[in-house]
Amino acid sequence: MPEGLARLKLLVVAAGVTAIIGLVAYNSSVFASHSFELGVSGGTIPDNTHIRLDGLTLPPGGVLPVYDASPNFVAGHFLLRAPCDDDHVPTITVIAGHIDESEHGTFVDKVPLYYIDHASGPDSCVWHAHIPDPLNGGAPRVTDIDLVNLSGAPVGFNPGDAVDINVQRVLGNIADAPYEEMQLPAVLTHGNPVFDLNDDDHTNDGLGFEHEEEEE
Amino acid sequence: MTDNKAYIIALAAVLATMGLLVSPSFIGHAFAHAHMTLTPDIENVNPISVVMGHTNEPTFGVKSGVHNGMHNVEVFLEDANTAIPLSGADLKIDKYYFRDFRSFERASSLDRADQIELNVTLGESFGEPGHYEAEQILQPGIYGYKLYGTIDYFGVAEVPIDTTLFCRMDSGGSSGDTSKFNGEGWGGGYGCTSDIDDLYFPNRPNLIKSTDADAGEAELQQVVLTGGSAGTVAAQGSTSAFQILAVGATAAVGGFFGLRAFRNRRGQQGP
Repeated sequence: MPEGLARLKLLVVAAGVTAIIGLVAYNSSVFASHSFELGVSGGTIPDNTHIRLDGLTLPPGGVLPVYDASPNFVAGHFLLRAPCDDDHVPTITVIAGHIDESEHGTFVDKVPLYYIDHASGPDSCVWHAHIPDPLNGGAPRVTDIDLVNLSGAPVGFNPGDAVDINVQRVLGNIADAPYEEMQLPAVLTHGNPVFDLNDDDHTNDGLGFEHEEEEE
Repeated sequence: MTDNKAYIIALAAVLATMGLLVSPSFIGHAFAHAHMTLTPDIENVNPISVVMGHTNEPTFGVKSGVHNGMHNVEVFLEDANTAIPLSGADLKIDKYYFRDFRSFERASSLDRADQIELNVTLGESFGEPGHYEAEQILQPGIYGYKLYGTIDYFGVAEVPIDTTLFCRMDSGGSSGDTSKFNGEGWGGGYGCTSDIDDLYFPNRPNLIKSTDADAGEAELQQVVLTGGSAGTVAAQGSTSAFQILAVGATAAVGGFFGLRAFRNRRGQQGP
């Protein structure tokens, strides 16, 4: 086939495809005007990330990135099943915030975790976390979530260990609300803050939960 | 038609289509609102972002058959650090209306407003956490709102709010300082409500004067209405339709010439 003819056919196909995309785009904007219809509201993305950790070993200083929504900072729910110590602190550290291409735009902090005793096993603990958690600390605007081994020893994960992140809403664009303070992963130390709603110590319940005293 | 000509036409069709697709992204709508950050001296409570304005800025007064004048008062509440919306606030507004700047200037207190409506509830919009609204239909003039009540900070504290804010007159050809009753900390602003007649072009009275036929006046007004404000609403709707037609027509022209060139080329090559 001559080169000119092939080029022409390609252009005709491109024009047709472009026109179809255009028509679909304009039709979509018409449908979107039916704001009374139920559906995903503006700025909301239904998104779930599930990562199996079994069989993985993180060396000291090792990092496992598990979520990156840049440039959007998001709200969602975080679940982790991983090895823990006697105080139910995970042997790996969960950090979140924004990791920018420039270190000056980077701010990460440890995620406050809620230990879930009734879902934990003998080898691994289960935690939930609210992303972000305005009451209990951590980075206020989260685009990135990572697992970091700050323990100084290799961390091996058990069968059934996993991370599950459910992002329910986009809260904004990090370009519109950048961090003014820099905090790099290297300055963090091992050990997430861990709250427990189910033990007898109500000083570690965290904020945002009302504990009802049980009557004997 | 040579291959080169067909190629150029087809290329032009593609470029024109792309241009039509891109053009709507440059059609923006004004969204002027005022903003403040509450910094409560309450344990465990972080700064709270408060945004207030009218829906559908810029605002115009109601005019029968032209504009419904419906520009609700709206307030957005967020945790300032995380941008998480704050639901469950108990908010009310007192509304103050001055018909013009002279009336506003003369007033020594809010009680001197031309019209006052007190204790209007700002309801939370369904499915939009942190977004509170009160419906209303506006007249041209100066609107101010005293916003008060309590903000539920994630169940750990009730944060009081009590502040007043008036619209700004520094746009649309009018100007004047309308901030004398404003509370502290507000930045930005929402515009005061204009007369939709100001949008006419050419100016309607001048156009009417330019004709000497009395019988033609009613017709002329009708023409101005159609081509002016009412037409503005219609134009927004017809813009999309026009672009759809233009995209389709441009692609069809490009496809037609491309196909014809393709057939001619095959004909020349023979069986």
